[in-house]
Amino acid sequence: MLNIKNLHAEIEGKEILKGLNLNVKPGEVHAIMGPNGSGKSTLASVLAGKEAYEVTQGQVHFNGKNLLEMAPEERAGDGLFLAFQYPVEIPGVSMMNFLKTSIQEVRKYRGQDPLNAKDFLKLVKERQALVELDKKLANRSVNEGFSGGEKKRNEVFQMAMLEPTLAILDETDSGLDIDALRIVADGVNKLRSPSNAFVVITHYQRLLDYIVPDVVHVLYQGRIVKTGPKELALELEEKGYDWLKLSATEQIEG
Amino acid sequence: MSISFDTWLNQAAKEASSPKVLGRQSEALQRAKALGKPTLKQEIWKYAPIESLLNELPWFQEAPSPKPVPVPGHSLGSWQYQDVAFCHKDPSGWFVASLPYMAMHQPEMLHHFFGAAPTREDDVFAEINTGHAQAGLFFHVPKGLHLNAPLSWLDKGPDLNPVRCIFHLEEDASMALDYRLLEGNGLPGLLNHAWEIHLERGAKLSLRRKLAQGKERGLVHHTLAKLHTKSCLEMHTSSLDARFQRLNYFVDLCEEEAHAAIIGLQVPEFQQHINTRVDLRHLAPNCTSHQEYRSISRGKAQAVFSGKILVARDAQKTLAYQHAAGLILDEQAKVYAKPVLEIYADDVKCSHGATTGQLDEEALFYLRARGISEALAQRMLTEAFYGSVLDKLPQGSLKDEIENDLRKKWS
Ligand SMILES: Nc1ncnc2c1ncn2[C@@H]1O[C@H](COP(=O)(O)OP(=O)(O)OP(=O)(O)O)[C@@H](O)[C@H]1O
Ligand SMILES: [Mg+2]
Repeated sequence: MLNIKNLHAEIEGKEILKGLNLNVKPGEVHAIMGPNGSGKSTLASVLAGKEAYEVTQGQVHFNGKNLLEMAPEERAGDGLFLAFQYPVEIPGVSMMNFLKTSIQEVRKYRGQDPLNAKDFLKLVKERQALVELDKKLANRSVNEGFSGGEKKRNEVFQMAMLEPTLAILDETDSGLDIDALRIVADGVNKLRSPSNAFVVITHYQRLLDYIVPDVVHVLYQGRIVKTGPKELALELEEKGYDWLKLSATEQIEG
Repeated sequence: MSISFDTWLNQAAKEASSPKVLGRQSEALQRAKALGKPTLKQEIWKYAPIESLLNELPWFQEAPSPKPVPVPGHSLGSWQYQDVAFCHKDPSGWFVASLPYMAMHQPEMLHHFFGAAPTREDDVFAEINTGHAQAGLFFHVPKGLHLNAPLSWLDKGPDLNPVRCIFHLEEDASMALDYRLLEGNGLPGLLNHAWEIHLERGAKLSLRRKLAQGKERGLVHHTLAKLHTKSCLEMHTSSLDARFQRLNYFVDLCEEEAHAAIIGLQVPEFQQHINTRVDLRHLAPNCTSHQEYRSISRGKAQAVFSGKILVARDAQKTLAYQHAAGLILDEQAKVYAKPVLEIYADDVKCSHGATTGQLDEEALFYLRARGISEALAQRMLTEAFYGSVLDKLPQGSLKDEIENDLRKKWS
């Protein structure tokens, strides 16, 4: 489903991703962990199509298409979804207008008929319930004045609305209380199916108790330096990243 | 007949000493003569292409008068502001009449108010307007009368210059006016309009305006207002489709607890220039004012907002708010904002802010990441930028119309 080969990307002349490889198949859940500043959000942004990043080398294929040639909206139309680490506040654009436009644009891209107002509202209600999102938030501007946790839930809510085939969750667990964490994880689990996949970026293995990954990767200095089963997350939590840094440096130098 | 600005100024100077004109008119003409032709060197014309405009556009005075358009109810369509016979007197007591009618039938009332609201004496056009106005409308609402429906005036601009309107609201009277200045079949030229506003104690005037006189014509428009105790002036102005516009707001809060709101949108495109100057004076204690302006500039257009708040020494407990925001949609488009505060009282709350920038890249990316095309995302953010100002217009035809005008621009 997603094939990343030797991906190099830079921002403002600074190379952040330095030859990253990753393969995600339908039905899988991949966790990506790694120290602050290692390039996790950069990877997520490059995949979603943020123009500030320049890809200098490598390829990314998504369902057989060359992802790097596509506009962000086309990527979304084709089923890629990014839950932002820092969801953006957009004063003056109402949540409802935003959701409706998003859904209709994606449906148009997929060659589906537009949803009528009644079905749209039904979907909104149903998916709000799924992540237990306060209904009142729908009356506000996009993310404006939302608490940290509300923003994160709102991301999962949008994911549930758009039903992506590949969802990248960038630290969606940060800022969530224990109950919210479970609710969000439940939401994700309900959306899991053999045909879609998740890439879950997190610092805490706690999330992985709820969303059990098939593989765990460690991203360090712009590369994936270790890949292992879900137990790797526990090991990281216990030992930190130092032991990996040493071997990674050896690997890079060697 | 059209004449140039210079010819006009010479003639006007001669007329200043004619016994036919009012004392205030004569003084204004003399001030106009002393000020002379505006130049870019004057601070108030900085950024404005006024010199080239005066060379390009005729300064016209007279043209064939249009046919009256009768419209039922309170909507009077194209009012005949140069017609000596025009007077609409409502059974409830308010009336609107042309200035020539007033000069003929109610000269004392006219002379009492005409030119009695303050100007700032540095703008030659305002002086010219006072000195030489020959047409316009006089609105009068008697004590305690509330006009429950807004009046509606569709101005297709008879080619007459300058035009002056006077609003006189007596104690506790109130009225609202929806005004549209449209392209019509006006000749190219520079229009000079002034609205002179006199609000007595507790009176409330609400003016909602769409100024879109067209790509061929320029407009200098002055709002000269004098507010007495507890009176309230609300203005909501959208400047669209204009080769050139200069709006002056010269507003004086003369007595306690008066309130003025100046809210507006200016949306120049192509090579257009739209320029708003607010000079608001708090002259008495406990008055409040609210200024909120949004500028959106496209193509090679320029939008200018300069807003001055003066708080006089006795104007304690003043509450003044000013915010100007600019959105630049194209590389060569410009927005200038210049706030000035001049405060001589010590117990006041004045806040002002100005922001200018392009569409927020992060927000754009967020929308696009949700499948919304770039063009649509830009439109949504642009609409969000002026939405809060447009939402201050009451529901109704003018709001819908402006909303549509703007939508058409983005699509
Ligand atoms: N606009 C920019 N200009 C220069 N450097 C940048 C820019 N944006 C990001 N970076 C740098 O890129 C590196 C990777 O950042 P990124 O956000 O991908 O890290 P991360 O792994 O997501 O970290 P965290 O766990 O803290 O979220 C950091 O060193 C960051 O400072
Ligand atoms: Mg990050």
